[in-house]
Amino acid sequence: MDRIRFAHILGAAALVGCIDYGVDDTDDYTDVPVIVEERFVQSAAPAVDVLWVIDNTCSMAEEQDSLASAFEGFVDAITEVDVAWQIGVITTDVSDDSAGVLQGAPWVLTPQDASPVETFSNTVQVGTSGVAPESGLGAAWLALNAPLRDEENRGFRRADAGLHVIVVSDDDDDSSAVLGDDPQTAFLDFLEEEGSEVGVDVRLSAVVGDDPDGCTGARGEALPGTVYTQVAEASGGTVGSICDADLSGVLSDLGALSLDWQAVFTLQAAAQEDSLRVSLDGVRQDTGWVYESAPPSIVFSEAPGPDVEIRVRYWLLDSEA
Amino acid sequence: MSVVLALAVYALSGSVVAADLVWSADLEGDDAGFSAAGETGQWEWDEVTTGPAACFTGVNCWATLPQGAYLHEATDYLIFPVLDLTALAAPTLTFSHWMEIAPIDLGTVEAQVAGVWTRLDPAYGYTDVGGYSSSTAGWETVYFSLADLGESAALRISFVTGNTGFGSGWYVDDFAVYDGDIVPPSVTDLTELSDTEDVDGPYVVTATVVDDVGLESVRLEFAVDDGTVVQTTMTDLGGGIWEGQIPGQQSGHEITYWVVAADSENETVAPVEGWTFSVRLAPPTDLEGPDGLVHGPTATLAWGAPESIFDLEGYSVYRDEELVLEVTDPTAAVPLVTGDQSFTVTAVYDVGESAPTEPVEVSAAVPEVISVSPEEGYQGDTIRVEIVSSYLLMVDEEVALDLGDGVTVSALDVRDVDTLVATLSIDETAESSMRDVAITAGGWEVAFVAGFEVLSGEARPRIDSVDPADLTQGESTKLVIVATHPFAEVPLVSLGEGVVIEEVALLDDQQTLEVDLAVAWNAALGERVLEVDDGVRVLDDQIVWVRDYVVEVPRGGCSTTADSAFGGGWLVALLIGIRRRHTMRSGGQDQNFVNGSSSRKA
Repeated sequence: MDRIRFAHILGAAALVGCIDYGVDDTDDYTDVPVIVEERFVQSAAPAVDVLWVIDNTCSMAEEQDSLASAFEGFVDAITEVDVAWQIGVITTDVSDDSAGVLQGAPWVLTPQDASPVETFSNTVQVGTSGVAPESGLGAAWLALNAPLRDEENRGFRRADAGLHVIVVSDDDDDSSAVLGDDPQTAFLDFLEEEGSEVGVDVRLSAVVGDDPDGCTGARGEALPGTVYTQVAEASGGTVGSICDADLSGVLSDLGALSLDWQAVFTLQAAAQEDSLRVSLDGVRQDTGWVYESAPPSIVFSEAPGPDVEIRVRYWLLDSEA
Repeated sequence: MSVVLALAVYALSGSVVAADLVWSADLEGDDAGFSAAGETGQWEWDEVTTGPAACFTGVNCWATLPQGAYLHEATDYLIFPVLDLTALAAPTLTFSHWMEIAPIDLGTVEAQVAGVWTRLDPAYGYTDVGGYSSSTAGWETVYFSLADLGESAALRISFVTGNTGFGSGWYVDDFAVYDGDIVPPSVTDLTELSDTEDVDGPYVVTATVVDDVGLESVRLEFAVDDGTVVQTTMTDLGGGIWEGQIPGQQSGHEITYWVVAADSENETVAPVEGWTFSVRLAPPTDLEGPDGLVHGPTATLAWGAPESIFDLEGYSVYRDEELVLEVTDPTAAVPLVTGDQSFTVTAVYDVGESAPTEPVEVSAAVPEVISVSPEEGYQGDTIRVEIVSSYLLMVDEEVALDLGDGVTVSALDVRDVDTLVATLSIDETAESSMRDVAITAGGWEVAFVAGFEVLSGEARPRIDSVDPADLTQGESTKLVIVATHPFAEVPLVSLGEGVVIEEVALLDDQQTLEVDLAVAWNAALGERVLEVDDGVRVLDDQIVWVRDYVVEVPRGGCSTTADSAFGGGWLVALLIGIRRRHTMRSGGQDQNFVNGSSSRKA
């Protein structure tokens, strides 16, 4: 391109003899690129709501104790990053007016709690007087929908936060009383709607009896959690065995899974697309991402991991006609 | 504790015994020469683990089948060793006993007089016409005069049982014979005073007081709230009846009283630990509160008005013994604190305050603001304040915040139900003063009193200098920003659309920033507000110009020579061009920008 800025300078100087600030910006093009490099460090999505659904039927006392003692791993995982998390606990019992109502005090646990492990440990021991059938999906649905969402459970579910429902039970779900003939489909539809409305990740995980045969552990026998397992797999959640002798590993995994990592990194200016160079922790990436222009951003097909450094080098779009 | 027990316990433990000990048997090492006789021979010397559970002293004593129930329809004896009473002027037998037998069963002490077994009566008599019967209130000590039995006494304990009843039987221990008066006075039928509203008094006490020899003094003693003991002389009303008076006491006090009776040798205190009554105005009745956890700042308590002889003026409500409310109606919305608490209510009369009601326990979750950080801002500041609450259950877009005149809330971000981040713009003319932080959320209106202070703007943190203050289109350069105060953390820097902030470095002085940036060729010309945001405060009091790429020639100083007006400008332009071609950037700013303005991660 011939119309370089130097020609404008020479021409303007020759005509007027001197040039001051504030002249009209008539020089539209240049062949000299402005190259910038933006740096990002992967961080978790800013907020997540975690709803624990605890089986409170008579066979669950030891499981609740074990869950309480293993909760530290879960808290460690979600407090490792600066995330505005909220945790609530409900039971699988939908037989009375307290169905789906968050338990404990405080009933919405936040990072402001001075001792979240202790608070959760107290809250999660919801007793063993619950009425069968265990209706984890139905209870979660009640907790996350009106009227409880706006009344007793007000404030727990935030519009811009991710959602992770975690069911702990030694029996399978039977939520037909709440969700109709096909609770599994109804709950998955709810999760999809919840996620799509606000563009956040929502999922269900389950700590249940092994599918399809159930399991036996030190705390007793568990029936297969087939429905919970299928919902977890369909929603991107994970499944742990309630028969594990030590639930701390399962809970740590659940904590990590509760965090959503950014896949979209917005640039400060429009980039010349063919100039883009993307690297993760110093390793150039030619695939696994695309550039979107409105707003200018790099969109990864799979979110980079925690603390990964993302560098994006590009020419500013206006550098070339 | 009954008067009888008090008398007995005191007589053994507290008597002033001026008599000589002649003979004793504690029954620990052996049976002391006692022997069992009679139809069943059920008297045994042994350790005791049933019945009274233990002997009066030590581990051994005599008892009717000490390991079980006594036998029915039998007459059995415990035979004393022969006692030598030679030259004794006033021999007196004493021992302690514990009894649990049927009312038709009888126990007595007998002496052989002229070859005939004759019943001896104890000082102050048997509990039944025919002897000891039924049950004692624990171990009791009894006294029998042996004055008329001559120089040698044959004694026995007689136990006659019927065909009904069931019990552990009769246990005896610690026998002794003294020469002299060892029998303390007897105090019975002491008036038991009840709690009273009467603050005028006196509180009259009567008792039956007798002594086997003769009383020397009878006193009524009392103490208020376990304080100093006050002694008053009791008046003999005749017939063994004595009367004493306790003067009127103020409401809210406990009075413990007892009688002290003495003969020439012995003294009785009855009851040993005293009896207690309260002088108190009638408290409210039937205090009731809410069940379950209360989510709110108050709870309603209700109670019944007391019946009293005095004029009721109102009520005082106490939370964990701290006065929190004074009302006139028998109901109140009482202030709560988060957690468990105990409420009581007193009635307030013209003569004083009543005792409290029985407590009511309330568990509460009270919406409240816990902290505001930072706690101050300056006139002219744009500042972010984190407000932490509890049980306020804040929801985005349903929260309002007010800090008074001159402080504008420009943004509210609910991080979680407990945490609100507010961006405040403080007017230059806002009054320097403490402000209440008032939040409306979830139907609650909560004020954090004097939670934020507006300070004079003179000391407000500012950007002290920016160098260079001019940027040129297409330029990549380093901006040096110096602030008057340290930054809280590495800040975000923004110069608006077309200026890409690549990397911000905070130097060791915490006040100087080095900002690598690049200016787009089409960046809009003119002045830009430099925004520096360290998460707490936004500094935006400096302007940076974006200039055209053209060579600067000073206004009014233009030269027509080739060197200065043409050749010099050419050279500068050439240098800029060279720099552009060789500018490569490494590093960038860890932030997201939308439409040219920075937005912090929530």
